[in-house]
Amino acid sequence: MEENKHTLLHYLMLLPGVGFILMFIGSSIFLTLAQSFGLFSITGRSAFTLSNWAAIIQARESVDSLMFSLKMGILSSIGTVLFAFPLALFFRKGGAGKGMLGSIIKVPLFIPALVAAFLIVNLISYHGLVNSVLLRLNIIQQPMRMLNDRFGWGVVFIQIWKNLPFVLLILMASIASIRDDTIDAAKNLGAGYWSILFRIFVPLAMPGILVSMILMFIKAFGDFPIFSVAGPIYPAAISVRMHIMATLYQEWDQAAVLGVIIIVTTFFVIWAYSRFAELVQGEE
Amino acid sequence: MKKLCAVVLVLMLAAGMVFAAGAREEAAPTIDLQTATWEEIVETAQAQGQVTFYSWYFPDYFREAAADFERQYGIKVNLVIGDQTANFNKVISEKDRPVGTVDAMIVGGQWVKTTMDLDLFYGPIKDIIPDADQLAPSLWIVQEGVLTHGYLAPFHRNQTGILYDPQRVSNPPQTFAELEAWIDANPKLFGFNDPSRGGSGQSFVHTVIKHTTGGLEKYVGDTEVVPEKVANWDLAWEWFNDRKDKLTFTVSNNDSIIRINDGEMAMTFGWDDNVQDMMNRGNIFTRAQMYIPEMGAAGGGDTMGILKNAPNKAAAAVFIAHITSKEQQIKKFEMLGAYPSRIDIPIEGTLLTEEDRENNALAWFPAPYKDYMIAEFVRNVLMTQ
Repeated sequence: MEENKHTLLHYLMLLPGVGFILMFIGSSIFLTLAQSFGLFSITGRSAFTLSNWAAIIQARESVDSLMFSLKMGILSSIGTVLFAFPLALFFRKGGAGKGMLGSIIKVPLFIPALVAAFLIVNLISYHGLVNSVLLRLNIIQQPMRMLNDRFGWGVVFIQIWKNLPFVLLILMASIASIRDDTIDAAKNLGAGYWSILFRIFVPLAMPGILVSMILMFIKAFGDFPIFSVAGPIYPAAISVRMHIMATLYQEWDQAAVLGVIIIVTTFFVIWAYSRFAELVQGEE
Repeated sequence: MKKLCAVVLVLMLAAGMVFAAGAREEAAPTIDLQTATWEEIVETAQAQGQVTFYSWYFPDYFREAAADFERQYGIKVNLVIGDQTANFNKVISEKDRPVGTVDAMIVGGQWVKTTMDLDLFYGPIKDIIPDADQLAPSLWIVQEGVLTHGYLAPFHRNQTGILYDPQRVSNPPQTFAELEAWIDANPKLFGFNDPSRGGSGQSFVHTVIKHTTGGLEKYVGDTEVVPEKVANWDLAWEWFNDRKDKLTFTVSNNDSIIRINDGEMAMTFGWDDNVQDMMNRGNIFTRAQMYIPEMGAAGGGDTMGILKNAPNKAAAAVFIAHITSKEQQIKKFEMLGAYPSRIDIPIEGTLLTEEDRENNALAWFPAPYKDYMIAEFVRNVLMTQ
């Protein structure tokens, strides 16, 4: 019984981990929040003000940046899961060559986001591989200008390519937990492929799908390197806009407002995910 | 077990205190640089024994320059090649400390306004550095439209101009009307970067404003944007919007150069030192040529400053004098092609001719107008795409 008591020593032993989180992550979030209200200002006089929030909310550029980053976050998370789910089903059972194929698919996992962005940019550049092949096949007569497209398809494509293995690992673990007995029983009862997919695999893998989507959203929403290399000229992603506000306009407090918006949006999405997960799993 | 843990904790605490005490160094010898002779400054610098210098580029050059300095003066150089933003964040975070950890640093155009507003630098140093009058006189006074009052010593000069592929542009435009005609005849082959992401794009927009709104003279000396003076800038935005389908917008200075190399564009605005650097690295073909057109293009340069709370101000002054010496400026040019800040060095083999620099180089309008220009360009041109 004595061993279960929490002594001072136990708390001290937790200090390196919990202390680090409180000291560095907690304090930096607090400082960002304070700076957004003009306190602990890096460059100017420190005094409480709502003017930074007013300036950001009233600027159409900031709203456009937020909406663009949300769009990229949502499309990237949906797109990655859509591509990864069939692959996860394919890799569910072992087979000849699947091990090597699985290793090849995981390669982007070890490539930094910035490098990944440059690799894809090289593919879709004016004299890149895609244009060269299309020209050779006489499908186009002039190279197409695909870099920094206004919608952001290039960003979505790079996010999917880069994060596919990451999501695949989560989904494979989730799908592996589905027992063969369940599938066999469904087949015995006359379920077809689509029925098994949508009524067995998808619902049972839903926790994994939701985790994948939320993590992908967080990665894509706050991403900087891919947006800065392959993003459209306008609007800038919210992270890029934050960088521009701080380093070009020297409006550090307004950059802090954008930082708070990124943090709050991420927390909101995590909260929405947990609520949705509870709903799906039927728990309170 | 508890006793053992307690003993370990106490020992760690004691060790930390011992290390902290050991880390405390004696204050470096000081001297009033404004009244001292140069010999006294060098003597004090040698007594200080070290200097900490921050930059974010030219690591190979600075390593050689530091080695030369150590050989010549016997003063150790703590050279830190960091990230530009991180360097400035560090000195800004230390600004209220009586004694900081950085002695001197490179100051780029992007940071000059913030650092001058925050009063970060010691000075003026113009009367301290020997040969100061041989360093670009205008850069001692103004950097990127910000008055620096002799606090920042010119390190190197850079200049924007038109970069083009001579195989695709046989008769590059000189006047604004010629450029308009060329763009109309060659849609999408001329481009420039979003001005919020690089200075060469800012320079092009600056030139367009000059030609569409009645020159740049009216802005000289302003410390704030005068609304009446920018009332007709819609003419510039109109110019861009009328040609939006014929212009290529890029995301950075480097992106513009890469797109020339890739063949997507044939002509762009670029920085001479950036183009030279990319040429040296093989990122753009060597046949590319550059010039400052008669319509004008802005130029400037980077500087060096001594921090107000520098622990070794004398050593910092001697290091800056060393970097701006003839030998070091020539070495920098030979290694990197970076145009010297000294005006007494005859230079050959550069991308831009001295004649172009004398006749066609423009000074930036004051910094508040530049910020206003970037913000308004985004609102009136990029946002309406």
